[in-house]
Amino acid sequence: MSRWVIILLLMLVVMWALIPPLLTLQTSFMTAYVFINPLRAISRMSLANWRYMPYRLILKWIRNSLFVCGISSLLATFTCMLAGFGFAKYNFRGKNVIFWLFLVSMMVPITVLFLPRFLIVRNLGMFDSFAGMIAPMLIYPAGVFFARQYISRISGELAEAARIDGASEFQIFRHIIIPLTHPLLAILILFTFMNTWHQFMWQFLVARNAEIQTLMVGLGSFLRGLGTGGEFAITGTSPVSLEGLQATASIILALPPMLIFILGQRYFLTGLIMGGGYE
Amino acid sequence: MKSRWMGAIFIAPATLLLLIFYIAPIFYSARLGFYNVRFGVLEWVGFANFKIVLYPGPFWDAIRTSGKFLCAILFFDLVLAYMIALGLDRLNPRIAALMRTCYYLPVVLSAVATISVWRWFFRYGGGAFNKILSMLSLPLVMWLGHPRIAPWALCLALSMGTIGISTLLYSAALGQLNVDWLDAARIDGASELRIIWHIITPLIRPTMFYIFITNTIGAFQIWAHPYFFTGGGPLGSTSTVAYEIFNTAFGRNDFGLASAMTAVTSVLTIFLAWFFLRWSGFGHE
Repeated sequence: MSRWVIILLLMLVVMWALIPPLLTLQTSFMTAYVFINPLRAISRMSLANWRYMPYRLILKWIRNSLFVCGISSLLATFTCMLAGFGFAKYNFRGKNVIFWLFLVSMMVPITVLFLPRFLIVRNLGMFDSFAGMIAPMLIYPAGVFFARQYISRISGELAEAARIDGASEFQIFRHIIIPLTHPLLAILILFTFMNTWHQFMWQFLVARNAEIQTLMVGLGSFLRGLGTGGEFAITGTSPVSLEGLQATASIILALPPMLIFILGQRYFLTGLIMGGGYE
Repeated sequence: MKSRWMGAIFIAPATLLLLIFYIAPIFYSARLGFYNVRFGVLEWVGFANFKIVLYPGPFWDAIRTSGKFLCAILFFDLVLAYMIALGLDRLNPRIAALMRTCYYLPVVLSAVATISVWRWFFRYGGGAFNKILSMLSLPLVMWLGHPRIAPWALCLALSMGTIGISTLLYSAALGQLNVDWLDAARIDGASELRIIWHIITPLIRPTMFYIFITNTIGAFQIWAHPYFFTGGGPLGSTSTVAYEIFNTAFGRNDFGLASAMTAVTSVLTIFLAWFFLRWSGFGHE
């Protein structure tokens, strides 16, 4: 009896979680009529919105995004792993102060750092280039925090044994810590990838050249252009709706991170479990 | 000892990047706070910007709004996710795993992905929520138009933002509990509620603490929802700290005032981080 009450309540939460994404999917197939009863909507569905998308540009934006996100995600994962290992397994002077700097950086509202960061990146000569888009993404303080939590839960005995056998500290990192932390690697790759993938404001400020824009920025400018004239402006005869195109763009934008999540799901769950506790 | 140096070497790359892209910008903002920055020209104004920030006004309201978001997020992630995880713990593991994946889906989507659907939910005439209210013959609500309701409406929109992560963390902690203790309590005739409150909750306190920290941080980072839903309105009621600073800098082009806000926020953050470190006992392990 009470078991069924639990299932019912949990199913309500499942609906609460799934209805907005599913309705967004439905909207991407709707033309003039947005948001009507899903059963009635089926007869009015069309591919018009999907046909309207500028796929040649989108392919270019996706290529740019994958380049920027791929490189920043791999390198950021590496810096997070190194730092997490250093914080978890070594003692050195100033460790607490430096860790506290990471905590502070994690908490400062990120939007406020864009202007000074922009000036710094411009002074380093990286404005309007892939280097400028990638450089600030190479450090992810929350990832360092998470990696530290995770690695501090690994027993130090293996590392100690290797040390007695004459292994260097880098060999310990490479041959003992890395093989034991595949779920952590997976989760850091997912988090850093999503962090860069969903990054709108920074990539918008730093990449002026249309050739290097990311998918998020590109789709944003495409959607803004729909109402205000320009190459893709909606005319009276276009069989599309603004909401429908927005939904279509959202779905295209969400596909790559979802693909990564589905591929690595097994690792992410283990990774979250190991990293999420305060010892 | 050799390993002392090694620790410093391992954290060096991350720390260097942190200094360039986080710490330096924070100090740079603190300096800009003493200037009036209009159209790229710097004009020294002393503490004028800080006076505006520290006297009651939009920035204080923004802190209060962020506080509301924090309360809602802590309710969702600390309380509701705990109840969900307790419920999942009593189900068939395969069904529970499937449900957990569903809860995790909104975490992978960005805040903007489902925005048009939420706008429709909140619409006054013909919106989903008001349709339900009118079916129940209840008065309609101006979800995004009333300053007392709009912040809580946005909280609804971001409710599933991180519940997926918190539920996973709680489930993991519940899975590692010692079943013998729970059975012993059950044999002694303790009710389920008493077991949850007096045995399970104290045992999973480390997980709760982790969720508390990460979500407190997350709450003060919120800016996309005010930006896309309400533009901070009505009457500034949904302007969070992050959004207020963003809007002052890039919307009203007052970089000096925004920098002063950043400096004040940074100082508050530094105290908060220090408090967290003391409380968790980091460095005494």
